[in-house]
Amino acid sequence: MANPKTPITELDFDSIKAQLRLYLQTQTQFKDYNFEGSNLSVLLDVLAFNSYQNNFYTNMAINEMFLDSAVLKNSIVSHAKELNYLPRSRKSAKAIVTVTITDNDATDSTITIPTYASFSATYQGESYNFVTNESYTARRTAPGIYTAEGVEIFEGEILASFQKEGFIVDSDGILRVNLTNNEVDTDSLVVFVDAEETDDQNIFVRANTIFGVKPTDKVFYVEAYLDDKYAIYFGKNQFGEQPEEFEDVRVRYRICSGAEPNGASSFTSSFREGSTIAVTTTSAASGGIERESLESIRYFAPKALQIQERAITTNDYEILLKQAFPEITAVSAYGGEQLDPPQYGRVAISVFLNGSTEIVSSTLSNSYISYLNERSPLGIEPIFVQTGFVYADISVAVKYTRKTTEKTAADLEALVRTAVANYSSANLEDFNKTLRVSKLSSIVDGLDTGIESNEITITPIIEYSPPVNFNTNPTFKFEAELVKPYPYKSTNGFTNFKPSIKSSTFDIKGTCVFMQDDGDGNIMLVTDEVSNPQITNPTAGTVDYTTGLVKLTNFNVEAFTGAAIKITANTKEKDVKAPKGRVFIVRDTDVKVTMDLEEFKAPVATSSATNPPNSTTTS
Amino acid sequence: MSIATFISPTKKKISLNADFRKDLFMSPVSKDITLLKDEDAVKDAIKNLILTDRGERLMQPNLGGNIRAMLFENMTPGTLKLIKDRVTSTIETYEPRAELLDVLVSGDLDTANVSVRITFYVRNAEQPIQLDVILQRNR
Repeated sequence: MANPKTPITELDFDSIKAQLRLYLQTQTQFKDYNFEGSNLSVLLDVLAFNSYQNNFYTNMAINEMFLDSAVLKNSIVSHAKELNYLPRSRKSAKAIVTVTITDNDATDSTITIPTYASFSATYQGESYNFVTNESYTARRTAPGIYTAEGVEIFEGEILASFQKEGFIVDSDGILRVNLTNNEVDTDSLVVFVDAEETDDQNIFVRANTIFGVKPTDKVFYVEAYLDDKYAIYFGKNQFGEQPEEFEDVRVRYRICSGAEPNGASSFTSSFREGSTIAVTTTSAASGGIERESLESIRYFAPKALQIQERAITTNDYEILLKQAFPEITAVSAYGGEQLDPPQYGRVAISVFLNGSTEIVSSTLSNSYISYLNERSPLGIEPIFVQTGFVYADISVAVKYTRKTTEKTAADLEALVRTAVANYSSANLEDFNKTLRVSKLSSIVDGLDTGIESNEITITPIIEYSPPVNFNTNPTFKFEAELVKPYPYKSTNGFTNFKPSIKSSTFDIKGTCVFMQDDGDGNIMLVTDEVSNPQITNPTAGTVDYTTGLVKLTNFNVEAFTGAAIKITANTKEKDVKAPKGRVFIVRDTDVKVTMDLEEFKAPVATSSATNPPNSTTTS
Repeated sequence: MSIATFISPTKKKISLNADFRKDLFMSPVSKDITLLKDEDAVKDAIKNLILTDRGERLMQPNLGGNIRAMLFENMTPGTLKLIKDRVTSTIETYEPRAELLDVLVSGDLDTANVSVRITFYVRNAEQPIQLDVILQRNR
């Protein structure tokens, strides 16, 4: 019997051999176990190596048994299959184009753009092929000219691999068709059963769940197979019609290049002989993605089981959308009753795409909504609300000393700016985020030993790009209590008046003005003059100091500088929380860093100097 | 009480070293494997070390004299010196029971054999021990 003190938890060769030696110490017959030249030592080597191999094998096998610790892709995919999760395949980039066909010999009123009509694009030095997924009708707009708008083309090539796919009938009598190409876009799968090569009859359609599928329905299911491949199987005459063994199962699908062609916007085509085809891009190629990564499968597979393909809670919307559309960085979903005006029975969805503050195109938003429509409960209608952003003017006043650092003011300022950017990417850039001043302040303090202290002031900014020369009634919610100023009095003027709401300048009725509140809950328009500003409209809107709601009425702007009008608010809370449905973004241009040297401070030379002599101000 | 108890000597010699033989030879009397003891065990261990090539032992790539490769070199005094050095360093590194006195290496050009004579003390033993190992190209 082994020494009771002999540990049994060791996994490596040397430790196992040491364990065996420890055991041999308990007997007196063989004594040379400590000497490498002995025959006994050779035997110990063999025993230890054998145990080491077993340990390694067992360790690896057990690791692969759990989704959390599995390393091999096939193991992870297999675990995902148990959770009824289908890892995402590559997806083709999709572009929307308008096709204009010029054919002077054509006399018909329409020309059909066939299914799988081919288009070409060259993007970043690579050539890509695009195809239509359905047929379109181009209508005659002028003699010999036919136009089809909204033609959706998908990157990839159609593989009609009728004779190439493998068939397996397993012991349960289930027919499986293994797709041999791992670049397949599973959205493009079309299955024909017992049909001639040119015959598109007897088409089976893809079903994702067995809900509502009858035994006679012609459906097929897709599951992940080994080595990034997919397999097709049928419902065994219970959840769909099962083809007989002697029937040919033929598959047609698209193979694609994933994310590479995203951004391609120039297309050519020659699918019709004797015609000139002009292709105008409405929406550049986007949405192409690589197959799902292992980490993504590991994350989403248990969650897919948790939500069961149903969007019920806010979290469900987020998981479903992020899983299906990986370009989405963040999702905000909230009840329509929180909209203004309230829209009961609806769920508002906003998304943040890949760190971009661009407006989400209607093509994309429609695809999100149609995806969610199939998964929302009865009576709940998802609607897309364009994502808003909230920015912040961040003013960082840093006091530093040269006693404990060799860094210059510029070096320290660069450090501060990087720290703010890092804080933003780690803690903000999402919905429902709050910029915590004390956290940011402590980060800045810890950047360098030369930084003595810092003071951070944050003012939230909402930007508004109004349609020019068009009456609008916009509202802006800061969702924070504002500092209510003393009411403005014309006798005191603007010199010492500190409004709570203030905007950048814009033109109204030929006058350059900006807006600010008057302390009584009104928004007034004031001319942009330094010496003698005048109020052009004392009641351009209202402001609620408790909720931070700004309402403008009959707001008709002729022009404004920059991309948008900036509206800032002076909030009571130092921390700034992003209002509902808005993503918090910190831009470097909004960060102002003031470096103030503590020692050697010379007296201010002249009263007209705006900054002390030893300070630098940049923005 | 068995007869063996009565006829056994009262002072049994205690062996400091005990190893089994490479061929696992079974004693015809006890039907148990026979053991190599004391000096014999050390001699066998040294022979094992010298005849082991590096990388031969599992997970111990540096163990062994690695002399076999040397046998195919030209048999010059330099080669013999190298063999001697390797034998010496192997024993000093891996066989702490042997206190090495001398290593003589001589080559036979006709047969291409190298004979190594190792003289050493086994610690706690009085007499020096001589071990002759003939290194052949075909072991």
